[in-house]
Amino acid sequence: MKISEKWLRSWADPAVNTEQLCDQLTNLGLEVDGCVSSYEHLSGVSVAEIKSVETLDDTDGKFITTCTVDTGTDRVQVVCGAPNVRVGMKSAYAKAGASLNERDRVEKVRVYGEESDGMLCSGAELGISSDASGILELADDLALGRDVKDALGLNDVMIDIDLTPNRGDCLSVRGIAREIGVVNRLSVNEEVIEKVPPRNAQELPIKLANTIGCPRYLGRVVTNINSSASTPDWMVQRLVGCGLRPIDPVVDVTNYVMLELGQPLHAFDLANIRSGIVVRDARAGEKLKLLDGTEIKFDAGTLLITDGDTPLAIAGVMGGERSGIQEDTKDVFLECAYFSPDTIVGIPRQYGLQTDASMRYERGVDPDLQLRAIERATYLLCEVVGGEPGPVTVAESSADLPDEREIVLRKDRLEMLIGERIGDAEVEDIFTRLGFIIESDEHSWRVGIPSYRFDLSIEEDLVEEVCRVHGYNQIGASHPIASLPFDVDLDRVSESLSVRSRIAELGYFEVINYSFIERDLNDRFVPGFQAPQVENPIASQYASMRKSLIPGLIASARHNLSRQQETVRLFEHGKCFAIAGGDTLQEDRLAGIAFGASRPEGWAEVHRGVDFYDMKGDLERITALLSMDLTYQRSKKAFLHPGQAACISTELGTIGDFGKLHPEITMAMELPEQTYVFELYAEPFAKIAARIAEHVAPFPYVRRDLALLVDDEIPVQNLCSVIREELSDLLADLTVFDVYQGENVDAHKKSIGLGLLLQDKRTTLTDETVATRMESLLSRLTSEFNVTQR
Amino acid sequence: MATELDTLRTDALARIAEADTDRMLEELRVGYLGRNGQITQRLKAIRTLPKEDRPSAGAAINAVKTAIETALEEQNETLIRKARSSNLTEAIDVTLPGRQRFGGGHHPVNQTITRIESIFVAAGYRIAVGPEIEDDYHNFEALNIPANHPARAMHDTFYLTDGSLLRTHTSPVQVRVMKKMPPPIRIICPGRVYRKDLDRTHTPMFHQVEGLVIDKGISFADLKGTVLGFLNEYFEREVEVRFRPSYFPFTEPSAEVDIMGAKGWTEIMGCGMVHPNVLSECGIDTETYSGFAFGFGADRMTMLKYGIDDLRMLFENDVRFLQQLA
Repeated sequence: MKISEKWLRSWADPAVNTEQLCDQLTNLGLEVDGCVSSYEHLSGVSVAEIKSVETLDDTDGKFITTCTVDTGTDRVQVVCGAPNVRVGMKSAYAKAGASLNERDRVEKVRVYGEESDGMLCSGAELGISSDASGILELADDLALGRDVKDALGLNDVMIDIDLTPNRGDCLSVRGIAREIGVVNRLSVNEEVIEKVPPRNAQELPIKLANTIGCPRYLGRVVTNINSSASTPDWMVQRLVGCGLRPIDPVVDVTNYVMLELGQPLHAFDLANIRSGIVVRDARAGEKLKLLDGTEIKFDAGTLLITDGDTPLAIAGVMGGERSGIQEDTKDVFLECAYFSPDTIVGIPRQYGLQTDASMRYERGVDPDLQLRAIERATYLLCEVVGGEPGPVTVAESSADLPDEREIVLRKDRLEMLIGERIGDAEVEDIFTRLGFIIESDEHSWRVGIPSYRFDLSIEEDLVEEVCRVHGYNQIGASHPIASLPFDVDLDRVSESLSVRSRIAELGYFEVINYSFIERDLNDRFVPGFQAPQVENPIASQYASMRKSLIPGLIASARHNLSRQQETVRLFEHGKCFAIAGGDTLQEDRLAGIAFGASRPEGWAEVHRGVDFYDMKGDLERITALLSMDLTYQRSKKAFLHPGQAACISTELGTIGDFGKLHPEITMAMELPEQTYVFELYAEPFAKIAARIAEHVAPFPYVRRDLALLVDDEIPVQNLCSVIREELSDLLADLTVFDVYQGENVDAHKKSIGLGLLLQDKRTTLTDETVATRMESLLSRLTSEFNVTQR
Repeated sequence: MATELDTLRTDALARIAEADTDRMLEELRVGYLGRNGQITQRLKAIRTLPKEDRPSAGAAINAVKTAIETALEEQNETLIRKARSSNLTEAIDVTLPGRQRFGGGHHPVNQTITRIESIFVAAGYRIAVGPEIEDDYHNFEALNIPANHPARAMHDTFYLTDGSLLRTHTSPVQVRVMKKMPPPIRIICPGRVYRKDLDRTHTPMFHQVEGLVIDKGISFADLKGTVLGFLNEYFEREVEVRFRPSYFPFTEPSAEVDIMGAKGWTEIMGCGMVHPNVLSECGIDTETYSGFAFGFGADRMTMLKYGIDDLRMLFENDVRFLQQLA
């Protein structure tokens, strides 16, 4: 909510400057977002004198002139269409480059074939009055060249308050003045609102068909208004000071009262209301063309103001075009109603119509305010546009109006929740200043809540009121006194920390990508599963919940590649999503990408590109955390190269895949051909089983090397598993120290060099034992894989 | 025989002292102590002697054997030392760079989260995490934000086509923990959250850390002490802090916390005493227990700590940025 400081000070004027006033508001929970001059955007406009006027065109009722204007420093030529322009007159001159408001900038232009270096402005153009009939007449004694804001005393400040949704009571000058009064111990200058006696008996019948949604509806007919009247300057300037623009005198009056008291009002053109007012729920499909020109179709249940059959307005939100105030409106019907917040809430969102009225009705309006507000509006309306008011018509269902509230606050509860004792006298003083009615006994206060504080309903609300007025920063700081149980159900360190640290140690930088990606991309990487889709994405490339971390990593890698980073190694830990069997799966994954060099460039390095076995080595280091036996098969992932990618499994199942990115993808994504990725399920790394330590046996190792010739189709893993199985009691380590194909080895064969480190943990191994065991191993390898020893 | 043995000994020791390669030394060892070595043969020959002469002859030969063994050992060491000291003249360029490995590191936001976790864990908190796709109940209703509540406008929520939503805060984790375990509860809930917003200070996905303490007699002053203590520890300095009244549907009283920075007060977290409706909804007796909750953006904390002024930088994943903070 934006509020004029001058207007606010006319209600409550503490002896503090603007900055202090803003701090007070912020410390009360009415956060000031900023404060600016209410004519912040009016610049480059100064006092000037018209030295000559020459008529350019006076046909067809036009009056276009070329004027010479003395700006105090210069003489310029300006084309002007105002009828009141005359030699010797002082007016407001906007030079080229000047701005009149947020939108309108003045430029040097050619009109009627003449150059116009800036313009002469009307009060309406400057936003300081509603007079658009001619250029502004300024007093003769004003110095030429003086800024008009300064010359006219336009020094009001617009304070922008970011109100929290509970403080609907502060959506008015009156509400904010009350708060300023509380903190400064000032009484608020409530505007004296006198009843405006009716001057005729004209009424419009009002029927409430939904008294829960609308428990009170006040109406008043004002006839014979002067349609040529204009809004007075003081009112225009206060509206501008609250961020509104003047529209027409009748609407300005209703807006003015809304800003002043917090009660939205609506003015209808009486001529366009057929019989009487009926407040009722919409029937599905009913239509209304709104003031802003859009036509909407209602869902059943939206509360409407109708004239029986035809909708006139959406209750508490916006009026219809047909019944709106026109330039020639003669008779006005003023509406001032209390709508229940529960009925209005959600309606603006549903129809995409947020208005000043709906904002107030959704948050709540003082249920005791309507009569005063309609009197105030009638008074101002008659002041501004004249007219003859009829009596106030009241339609009301008192049973459906909010009850008066009383909240009990226990003294020990207050002390416990704050953590220190605030004296009874201070608490009572705070409540009194807030306008609460209190009855106290030894243990508690019984607090009567004024109708405008509809945000308060429970004991804790009063605790907050006490803290707020006492000052949050006056309350001490302590520490919770607590038992310290050893809770085993919850974590002490993030589950992913150790595995993420391991990956980082291997030379990968961790990235964070959005969890949503483009839908086609998502499905291309992981076909077969459906992804959860975002209904209202921020952009279409963020519409689908990612099924894999790889597309995000590719995007990050590309970002770096396009910035001359030829070697990139990245990883991410995060959730992936999928819909399976009607359930939404959300599982943590770890993934990485690498391309470029296998080692950092250096004098002692031979440059080599990263390859499959570099990444496999990294994965062996990562999966070593699991202390589990792993097996590798060819991966079936669509995004991986079918021949150069593997799927990693434990005896419990697959834990992930890695390998070369599919050439179709590296082509499409403009990545190096040698791009390697991995993606693992994070869950196995989250709950790593405790390891069991074994005794280190004191007996010597025996090393035996095997050079085997084998069919090149046979994966080395198969030979190794047989060796591990056969020598399970002796094998301390197994290394593949050589793989050779070429000269001296038959085509379709390969030579594998295996190093076996053997140890018997109970005794010293003898040569005889080793020989026997190796012999049986070899015969098994021969029969299973047809190996021959080289 | 004694003389012959003496000669053997003198001769052996002299030859050992002259050996200047490993190979020569090994030949000498085999020649004297090997299977057919001179000493070995003499030891074998003892059994041909008369029984009474055997002990003294054995002792004499063994003494020579020991002397030869010692000499071999010493000469071996001498040779090694000589070889190594000759290396002392070999010098290398110590200014050449060493062999490099790739550097890596954790993302700055995750570093922040890890640090925050360790600060709170040291104070007796535990870490709780939960799903990112949530239902309306855990994200809103259980937190005293019924449908159409104006506070929902404070959370520009992403909805999924099946009616579920992307959590707008990590508070649903608090709800899940409160429903699962009885007080006392002291947890922090870090994680990714989502709101429909994108500019210099907002990204549609960001990270929150929320904290929750439920116990007997927990007060607003306890909340203040906790927040102040944490901020001082996190920023490693005495931070100037301001609490001001605010509004969250799930806390009452509620506060925003500002810290003083170079450009004046900066909003840093929201907090408050857990609203009784939330406690009741989670089956916690509001007359026995009270509690506080707080929440802040880990991304924002990262920006403040490292002087980053555009939030979007955190999600560009530019290596040149990441390696500065790794």
